[in-house]
Amino acid sequence: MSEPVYVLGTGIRRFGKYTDLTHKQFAVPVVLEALRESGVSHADIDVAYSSSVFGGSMMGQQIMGQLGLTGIPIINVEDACSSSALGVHEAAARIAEGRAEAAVVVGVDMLSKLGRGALPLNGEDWDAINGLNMPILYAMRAQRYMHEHGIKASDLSEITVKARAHGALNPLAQFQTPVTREEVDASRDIADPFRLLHCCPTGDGAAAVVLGSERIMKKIGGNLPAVQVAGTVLHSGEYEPGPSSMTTSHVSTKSAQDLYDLTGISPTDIDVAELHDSFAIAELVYYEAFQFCKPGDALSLLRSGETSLGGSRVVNPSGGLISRGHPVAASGVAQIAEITRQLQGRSGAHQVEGARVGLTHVTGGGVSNFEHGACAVTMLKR
Amino acid sequence: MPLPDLNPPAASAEAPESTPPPYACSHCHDCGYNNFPPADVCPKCWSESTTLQDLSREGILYSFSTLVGRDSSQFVGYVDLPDKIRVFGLLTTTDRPDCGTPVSFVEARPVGNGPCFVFDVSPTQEA
Repeated sequence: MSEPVYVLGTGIRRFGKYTDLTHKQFAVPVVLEALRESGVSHADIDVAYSSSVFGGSMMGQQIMGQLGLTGIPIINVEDACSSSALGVHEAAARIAEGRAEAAVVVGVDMLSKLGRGALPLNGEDWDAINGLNMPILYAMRAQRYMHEHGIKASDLSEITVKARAHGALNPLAQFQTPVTREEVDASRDIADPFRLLHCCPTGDGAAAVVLGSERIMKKIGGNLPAVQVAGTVLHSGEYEPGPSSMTTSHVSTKSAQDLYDLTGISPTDIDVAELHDSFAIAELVYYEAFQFCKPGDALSLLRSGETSLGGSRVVNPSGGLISRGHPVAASGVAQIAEITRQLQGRSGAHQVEGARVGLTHVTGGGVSNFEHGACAVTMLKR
Repeated sequence: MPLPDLNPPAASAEAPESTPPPYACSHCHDCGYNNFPPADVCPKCWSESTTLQDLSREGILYSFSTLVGRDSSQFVGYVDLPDKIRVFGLLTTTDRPDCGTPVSFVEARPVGNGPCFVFDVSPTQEA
């Protein structure tokens, strides 16, 4: 059985630093926004999914209890940065299989509570024990990409310039001021070749969506254009303790191809995408993984303007993780909320005009011998 | 049934002890697969017939960066070994190395203070 699944409602709060709030206090208004936008009632929600990597156990019960969504299955899911997109993947499957009519999915993390610097990884992991963190891992990916394709460190700054230009038009972005290439190049060293502005910020964020069947969508009616979840794919990375390429994202390439095969939608059909640009090199690598260009041509694609607002295939109109922010478990659902609103034509100054098809992509990393621990991709269409 | 321990215990590669971890992988005697950090079970064939095997001392620097929050000249990198193992290590050079440079194993340090394995970057190749 495979029933159509729709995004009925979205909720998102501007990412940033909210040191006086708890995770629960921060997330409840966001879930409420999604519920109210969807038009569903308490009785319509059959299941809730919640993700928080750093917020503590049973965050779903903490949040849903405040909204009276109890007695139903509340499923807490964790897959690092892919966490809440995994929640959407599972919720959509449950609805498509006819085991639920409507589901709410929330992701929340408040990284400001952890202090500054790189995110802590699993303390029992060999890489973490050896001081290998996400900035260093992506920096090594960048060095190798630069070595193989002959680009310079300052070329990476152009990704940040684009991200911050987009974020400046998004009132929900953590950073809303544009930067120049010179400002990126002059920011402080983080991990060679990365400067501070090549990296996504730490911050607090929450986002939520309500998914539903076609039956419940028609029952509710509503004024917003219907956005369908055309397909979702989830993969873990492969365990590989030996040499492997860091310039090709194996798990993202596989996930992208499977998503295209599943939905019958091709790379040239994509109007807008939110890709996992946790560090500047990542967006270039993922252009290639999603077949937006040939291997090695990502910088040329960026410079063509095709992936910038006003281009034919806009990537990260929200500002992406670099500008909108990356509060880990919130990012997957935040991307899906962003693309939903883009397809509904209500993104204001950062609207991609005429967008009908969009995708989202998050990876969850930080495990020894995995390129990434997880990758979740979602295709949405109007 | 508890799994057999390697001799010396594979867990020593991950335990925060004062002694350095062995510069070794686990080798499967049933399928030949090498794994690092060493583990009691082969992930390819699920055999428990694995023992520690010393890693090659010569390798190739696949890529590199610098340690976050420390002296920016403190280079680290991924070293590819002929044992079909990639290890993360500290590089002794103070000059930016190149991808593809030969490196040599120098020493293993106790866990808990950055990379355990230290590699010397070949001066002849780095120029």
